Amino acid sequence: MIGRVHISIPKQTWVYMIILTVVIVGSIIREINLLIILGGLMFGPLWISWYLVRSTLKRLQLQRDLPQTVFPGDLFLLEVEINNQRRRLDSWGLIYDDRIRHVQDPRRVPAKSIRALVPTVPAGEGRAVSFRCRLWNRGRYRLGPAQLSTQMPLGLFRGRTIDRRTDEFIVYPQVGSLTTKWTELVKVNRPGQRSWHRNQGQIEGDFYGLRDWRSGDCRRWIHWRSSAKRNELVVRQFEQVRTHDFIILLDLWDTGKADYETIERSISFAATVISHYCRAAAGQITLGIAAEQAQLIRGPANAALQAESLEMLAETTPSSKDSLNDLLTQVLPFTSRDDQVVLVSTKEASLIDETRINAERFQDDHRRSLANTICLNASNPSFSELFTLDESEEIPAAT
Amino acid sequence: MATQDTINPIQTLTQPIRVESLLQISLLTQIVLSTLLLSMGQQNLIYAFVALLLAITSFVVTDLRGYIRLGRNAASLASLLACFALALQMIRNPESQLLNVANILVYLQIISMFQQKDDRIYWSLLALSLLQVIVASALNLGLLFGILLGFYLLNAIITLSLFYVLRQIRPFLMARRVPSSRQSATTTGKTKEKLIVAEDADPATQILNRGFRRRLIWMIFITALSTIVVFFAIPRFTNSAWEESDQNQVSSVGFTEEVDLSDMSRILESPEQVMRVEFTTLSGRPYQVDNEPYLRGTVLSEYRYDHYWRQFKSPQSRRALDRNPPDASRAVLERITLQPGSHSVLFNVAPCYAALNETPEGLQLNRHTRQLTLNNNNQQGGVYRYTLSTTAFRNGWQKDLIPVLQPIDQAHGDQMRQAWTDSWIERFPALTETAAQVIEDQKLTEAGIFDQAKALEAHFRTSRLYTYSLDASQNRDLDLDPIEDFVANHRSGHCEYFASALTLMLRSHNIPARLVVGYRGGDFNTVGSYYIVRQLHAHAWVEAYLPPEAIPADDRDPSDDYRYGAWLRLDPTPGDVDVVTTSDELAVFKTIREIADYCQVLWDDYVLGLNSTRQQQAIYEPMIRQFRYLGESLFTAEGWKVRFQNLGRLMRSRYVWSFTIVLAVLAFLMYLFRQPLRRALQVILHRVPRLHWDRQNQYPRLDLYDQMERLLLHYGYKRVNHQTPFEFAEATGGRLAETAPTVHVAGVPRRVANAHYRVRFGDQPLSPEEHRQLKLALGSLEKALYGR
Repeated sequence: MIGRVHISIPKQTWVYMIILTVVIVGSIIREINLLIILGGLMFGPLWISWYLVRSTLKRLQLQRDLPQTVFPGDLFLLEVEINNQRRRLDSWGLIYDDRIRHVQDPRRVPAKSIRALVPTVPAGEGRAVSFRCRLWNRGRYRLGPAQLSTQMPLGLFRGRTIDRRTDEFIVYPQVGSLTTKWTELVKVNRPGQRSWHRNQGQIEGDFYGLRDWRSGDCRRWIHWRSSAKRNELVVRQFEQVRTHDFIILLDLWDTGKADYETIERSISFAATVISHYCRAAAGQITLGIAAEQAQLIRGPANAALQAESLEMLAETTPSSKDSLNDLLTQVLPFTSRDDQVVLVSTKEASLIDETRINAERFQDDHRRSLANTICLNASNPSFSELFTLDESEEIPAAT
Repeated sequence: MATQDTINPIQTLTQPIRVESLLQISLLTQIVLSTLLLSMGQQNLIYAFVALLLAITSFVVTDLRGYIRLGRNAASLASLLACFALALQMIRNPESQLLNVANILVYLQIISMFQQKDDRIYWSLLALSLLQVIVASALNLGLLFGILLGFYLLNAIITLSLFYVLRQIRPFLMARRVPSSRQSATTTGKTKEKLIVAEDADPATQILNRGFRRRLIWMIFITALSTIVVFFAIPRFTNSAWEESDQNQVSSVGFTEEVDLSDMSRILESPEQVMRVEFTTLSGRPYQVDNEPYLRGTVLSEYRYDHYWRQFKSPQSRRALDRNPPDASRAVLERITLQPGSHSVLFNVAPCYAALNETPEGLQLNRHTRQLTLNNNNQQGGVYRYTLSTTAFRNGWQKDLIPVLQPIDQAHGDQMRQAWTDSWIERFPALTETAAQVIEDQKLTEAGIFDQAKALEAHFRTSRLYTYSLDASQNRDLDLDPIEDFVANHRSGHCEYFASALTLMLRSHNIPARLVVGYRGGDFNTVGSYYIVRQLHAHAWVEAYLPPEAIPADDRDPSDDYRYGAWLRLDPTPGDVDVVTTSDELAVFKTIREIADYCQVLWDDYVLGLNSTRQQQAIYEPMIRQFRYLGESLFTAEGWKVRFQNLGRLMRSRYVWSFTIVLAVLAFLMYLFRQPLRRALQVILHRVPRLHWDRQNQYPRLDLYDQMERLLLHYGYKRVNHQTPFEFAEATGGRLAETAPTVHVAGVPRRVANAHYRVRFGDQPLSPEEHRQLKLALGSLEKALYGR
């Protein structure tokens, strides 16, 4: 429900009121009855305007309908429904004002005002206004507080009421396509690459689920308890794991020298890589971001991880604080020497020669795993050759 | 990344050319109206005609075609020149400053009319128009002004509404022109913040619909109501019987304070209104007078040798009106409104008394002639209202006898008696002889004064020897006195001749008599129950003094006091030719004229003439009375007792019982068959023929279908006239299926059209979920078309 109605007086109305006062006072002093009539005629519209402006904005309800997440450049609809909960009085000439604000970086991404004229909202009904939106800057956006205003019917008063509720949505970082240079780079950095699979217990692969028994299935796979319950044979199904874990570390170090394009490029690259691996469902993926705070996300490559990673990337902001050490502290327990580690930094960075990996807290195994780290400098022009951002491509929004 | 964020509207707006043109027409009408009001105040309609001509010209050449558009500098220069002209006028003619201000307002308005209209110019024109009306209010008083003011209000509300709608729409139109394509976008999101709009359809069309017109009527009604409340609620502090007037002073064509019989010219009858007379009872109900009332004006008692009738002058003869009539219960109130003019004589039906709280101060009565006048300090030229009470009527008839309230002054008596000496006999031999002959012929020599007077009156009225004529120039013997000439020779003349001759005849028989000049009758308005007295109703008659013993017992009114005698009114003018007031107009026109006349009266009384007394009488006192009555009837045992008694009487009536039973049975039947009745009513209502423009609102419509049509139209898919919605959807779906980006939405038009048919023709509304699904489908269609 929208808050109380505030009524303001435009300057033209002040002039009108001054004239009205002069007419009324003059007519009373001089007792010119026709001037009193004129005063009454002028007072009538004033009173009606005030009453209607006040009544029109009462008992209105706003509801926004918008997606939770969108990809940059993706077209989406923002729909605002205004419901008139009164029984009798229609609302006329409503102006809906709202602002879309970038939550993380409001200075760089200026807030945008949106405005809609809603000609009528009949009593007991609702009317919707729709906006066709295309946003290009990643991050979390906030809509609201919204304002409804009107000057109907004569424009002599302006009434406004504010709905303080806000809605938020996230614009993911831009996702492109990895080029063959990336593929080559990965191959070069993994000499003697071999597939390996986990052998846990007697059964090959990870437990995936249960299915009906088929002819030819190994008896050892029969899950007896479930078979007894269902009164038919049920076998366990296993997934062969023949992929490598992938770790991508994003060092968003910004002392003010790194330009905005470099930072965004590195984030988009990370998003592209994550999306690529998640689409391929390639093993475990770890995303670490060294920004204001070290952030880490890890899991099997799938759509859920993709969405979560993109959300994290969307909201991350670069920092002048070097939190790569903290990130490594968090990441290294999950690494093994066969993992593919990629470090994307906004500056020239390497984990091999850094004193940071010589720290006592890192085990040798961990150090070895970092030895094959691919370190990429996003400010380097060759970095752009690893992936392409096709702006015309419309990527369906994740839901 | 290097692209501008965009948020664009779903659908297109049409240019509000219609709204702006309507506004311009409405505004120009308002300007013409305000100038007309001002011109009426100045009594010079040339300004109004010029304003009308210029308004039409400016609409065509400035607003429509744009041939002439004064720039701001040119307009400022012209305004300066106009102000300079005003200053000159004020120096030359400092008395009429208000008119000068009015003129400058007209000039400024004309300059603004030829400028390109933006919000500032619209506001200026509105303000100038309002100021014109304010000035006009100080210059006008007529009913026509009030009616035109009503039209002005109507137009002003329409103009303000249209202006507001235009102001509301215009920013959105401008925002539409912001480039939205990515090709025109600049780098990053660091672009100047832009106003972003979204619309469902052309808002002007949506706002200016039937509901808007209904609300407009409602606003006008409320404004009129609030005007009435404000007008009557604002307290008045003065209680003047005088009132400003915009009318010319009434010229004295009919009534004159002195009668000059040497004038041989023809008298013209003028229909000019002199006064309005209303007779009411003390409770305020109209009092019907069956004969034509005689309104006394001047009493003339001295006939001089120069053929002039003069008043009796006595330095100490004036006194204030008596407060109480002898029998107050039979008194009738006479409310008289004199038109502008010299009000040295106040007309009245004699005998008159001061009415409680209603008679204004400053009225004086001549103790001998009972002539009513205003004191010298109080004679102005405007409309004057006064109320008197009179006992002159009995059963709707004005009595012939007017009681004398105090002994007749000796000097006055002598003058009226005017000893009929030889010189008078020499001067009026025929008149003297005729009078004697009449008395003798009717064997009234020994009869009383009353009979002799009546016989002489009858001599003129019924003998057919005399004819009534307004032309006094025919066959005159200038050597004779005009009255003698009238009686002896031509025997033709107007009422003054008849009255003069009778007065002198009465005096020749030693009966004190005097000539009275005033008005007789008037045009009776049946709507408002009042007389409009015009100059052509001016009349002269005679009053003869009857001592108490000469008053016949049959003619005495028991409620009157005749101890000092009475004045007998004698009207010698033949009645059938006296005043011609009837006309050949149809009854309906007569009624219309009477209604219009009554409206004017109401306007004069309750608008122009609303002072503190009238406000007290017409508003406050009735309200207090009603509240008191309500309080008494609600909170006293007596009130409830009366109410129950009335109820009991009603209950005993078998008609009431029958009616109640029938009503109850009908209500019960209606309740039983409410569903069939409702359906039948719907069928009847659907069959009622309606105007074409209203048909769109007659049937349920699916707004989503309209949205879809507009959307498709925006992208070049137009429904041609012969296509049904379904055919259009099929055709559009086929075209959408031809291209890859839109193939997945090819079925949307068909879905929406199906839903539209269901709602429109099947009268089956969509569920909220279905509506939502269709909206989403439309969204995807929009998205696909946009990204194509």
